[in-house]
Amino acid sequence: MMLEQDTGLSLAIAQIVQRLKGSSLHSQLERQARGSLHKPEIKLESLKEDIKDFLKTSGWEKRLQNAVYSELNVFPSPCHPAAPPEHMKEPLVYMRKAQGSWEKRILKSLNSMCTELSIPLARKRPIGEQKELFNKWNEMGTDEPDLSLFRPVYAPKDFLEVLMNLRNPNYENGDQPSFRNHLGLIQVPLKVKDIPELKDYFSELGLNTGQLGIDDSTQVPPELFENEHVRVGQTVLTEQDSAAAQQYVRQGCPTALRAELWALILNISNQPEDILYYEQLKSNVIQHDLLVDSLIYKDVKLTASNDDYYFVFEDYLYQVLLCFSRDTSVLEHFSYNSATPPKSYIRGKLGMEEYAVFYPPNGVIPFHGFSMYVAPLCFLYHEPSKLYQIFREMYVRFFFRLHSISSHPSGIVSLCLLFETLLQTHLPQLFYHLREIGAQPLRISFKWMVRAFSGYLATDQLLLLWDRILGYNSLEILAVLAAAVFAFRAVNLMEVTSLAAAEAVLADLSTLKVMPLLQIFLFATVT
Amino acid sequence: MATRPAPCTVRSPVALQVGDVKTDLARPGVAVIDVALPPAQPLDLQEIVFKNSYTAFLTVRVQRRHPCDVGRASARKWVTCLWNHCLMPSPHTEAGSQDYFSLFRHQLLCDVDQVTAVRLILRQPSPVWLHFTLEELRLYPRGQQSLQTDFPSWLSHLAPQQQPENLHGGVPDPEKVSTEVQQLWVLTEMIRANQTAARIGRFDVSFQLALFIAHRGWPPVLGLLCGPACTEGAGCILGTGSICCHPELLPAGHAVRNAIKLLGKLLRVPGSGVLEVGNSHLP
Repeated sequence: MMLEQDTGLSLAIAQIVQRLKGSSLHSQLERQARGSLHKPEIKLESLKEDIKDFLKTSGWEKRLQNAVYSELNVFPSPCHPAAPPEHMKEPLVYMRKAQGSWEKRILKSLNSMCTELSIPLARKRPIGEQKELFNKWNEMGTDEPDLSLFRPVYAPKDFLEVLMNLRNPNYENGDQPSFRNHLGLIQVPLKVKDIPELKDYFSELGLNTGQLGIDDSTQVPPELFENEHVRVGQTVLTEQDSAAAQQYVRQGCPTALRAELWALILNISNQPEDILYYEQLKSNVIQHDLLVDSLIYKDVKLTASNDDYYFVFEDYLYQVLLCFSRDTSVLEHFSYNSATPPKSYIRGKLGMEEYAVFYPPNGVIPFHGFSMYVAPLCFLYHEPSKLYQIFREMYVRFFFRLHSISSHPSGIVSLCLLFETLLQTHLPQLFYHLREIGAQPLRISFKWMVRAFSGYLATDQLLLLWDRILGYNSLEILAVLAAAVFAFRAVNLMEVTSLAAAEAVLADLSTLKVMPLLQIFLFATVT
Repeated sequence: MATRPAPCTVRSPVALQVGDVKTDLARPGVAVIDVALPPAQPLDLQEIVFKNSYTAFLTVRVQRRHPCDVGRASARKWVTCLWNHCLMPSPHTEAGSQDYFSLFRHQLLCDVDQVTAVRLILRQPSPVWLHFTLEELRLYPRGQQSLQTDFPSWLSHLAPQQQPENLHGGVPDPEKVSTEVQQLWVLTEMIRANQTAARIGRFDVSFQLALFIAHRGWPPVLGLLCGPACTEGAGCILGTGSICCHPELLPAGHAVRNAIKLLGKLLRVPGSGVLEVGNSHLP
């Protein structure tokens, strides 16, 4: 069996090597190796070993390690060679179909808005307008264009309706209630973790492990946990090791170290060429006007600008989101995302494949609340180019899963099912009660999960939650927290008699403390 | 290297069903796919590639020709080369349901040279799926592989933890049971609130058959036990509606016997009891 493991490993290695070969890291390593030839300690007779040693001591080996680790985290393991490429996007055929028809609906809505308002999908800005935009790049929020005619392409509520109607055609879906039907809204038989499995998976969140968000409260003397944890965090940063950083943030990031630790985990270093790339995107924004820009404007105005925590970041949000819509490197993530970027044709060339372009250039159509994925990051990064890279990496690793239909354990369908299953097994009476009064719990919690709780929790709590997303490289914690919130408010919820009342009970989550809730729900409740 | 699968005829799956296929409410849990190879060229099997479609466990039997006694009818022997290989680790849920799989010769229990026919026995203990089969089935002869690249081990690795857990071995974890009972509780609540004649799928039992449970799901597979003289092997069809199962494929032991007894009691079958594996004969 050893032989097999080796070949499997070699396939994965070949895949990573191939991807890294085109990266700038590869050329940098090459340049460093060539430059080192002038050094006296590099001997001709032991050239290979000496260069290896040099790369190790000068820290380049670490950067290579981090790049490999990041590849391993982002890309799924290689598929069976007989499987078609779409199998890697999503193995279940009916899920792929559902995603396809959902995309068609979005496009139809976008196109009809285009025709209604007679606005082109894209146009080149006149020189005067370009100059104007260039000058007010840092204060785009002061602009008040009339966007009353625009409406968000879709909101989480519409998406939930789609997920509710998702069915496996090979599944016995009787009309009569039976043991085969789920009692919640999601009717797809995916495998989700049960509580013992979750306890095992999130073992670092256990009662015996120190946690930022619990053990750093003012009542606890910092000598017990906090001081030591901060010290370890600093060591992790000096070591510049992604894997260590990821393990470390499972217990939470100290506020002062968070920005750097997250960048380390996501392998974002903000090199000069990254800044240049960002500047290019910026000039693309200035040259061309897209229809999605108005959608982005509208969304920021509707969500982040109205938010007590995030309204100050309005200008940042425009910059990041407009650049994001032009970034074609985002397209790469569609190899493992069940979604497919929409195509548009150059005027007069409809249907001719050689004139097809992805629209928007990054392939992502923003929906109501999209800007909330960026907003919390503005607390951590003040430099727009770095903020931008962090957001892009967070999107292609995590956030895309929250609005595409897939069977992935971090996909929104699995999260919904996990939430419903947890609530039903943990609090059957509550689940039954809410169901009976027509307040299906998922109807309330869905918007929390789609936005990864951004805009619902207080910022410090939200960042503690996202620490764990990064630490476990999984979004499942969102479903656990949603269930924990219901458990926390169970007594009040048992009293309500309508959906509106239940929503009122759960309207304000900004006072909740995330880590104690998670810990109690997972580890301190006797089921 | 060329990537050509061996020429063969894959028959459509035959479901093993007790009773009438159309009127019976219970669905079959076993299906058989026969693969016929050209009689003139026996195959040295290297790899079996297929796309799963809701099959939970797979047993593979091959018919081999003995090189020493070519020409005699008895020279062709059926052997089991893979037994209950798990394709869906959790049969009620989607995991593995539509994945691609490869089985290599080194994973098989015996040599697969000089193969003249292959029989795949598909099992799906979970009643929630309407159909189950295997798709895009291809057999690759020795010296060829589906691709030049080597295979990752996790695809070909027969992980021991994937084997179905023995539910007869002991009492299941009470916590796990209690969580499952919640669903039952809600159902009783709903039935109390809404007294309808819900269709309850149960097996319509043919009393001429001796009973056994060949697998642990519901509905149980009903069938005949045949004696050691049977040469046809597992899953052969003796006639419409009856199944023969080779003793070697039966999970022998108290658990099976107790299950038969229990089932007999439940269904009040006169005279049903334990049929000793190995000594049984057709009634």
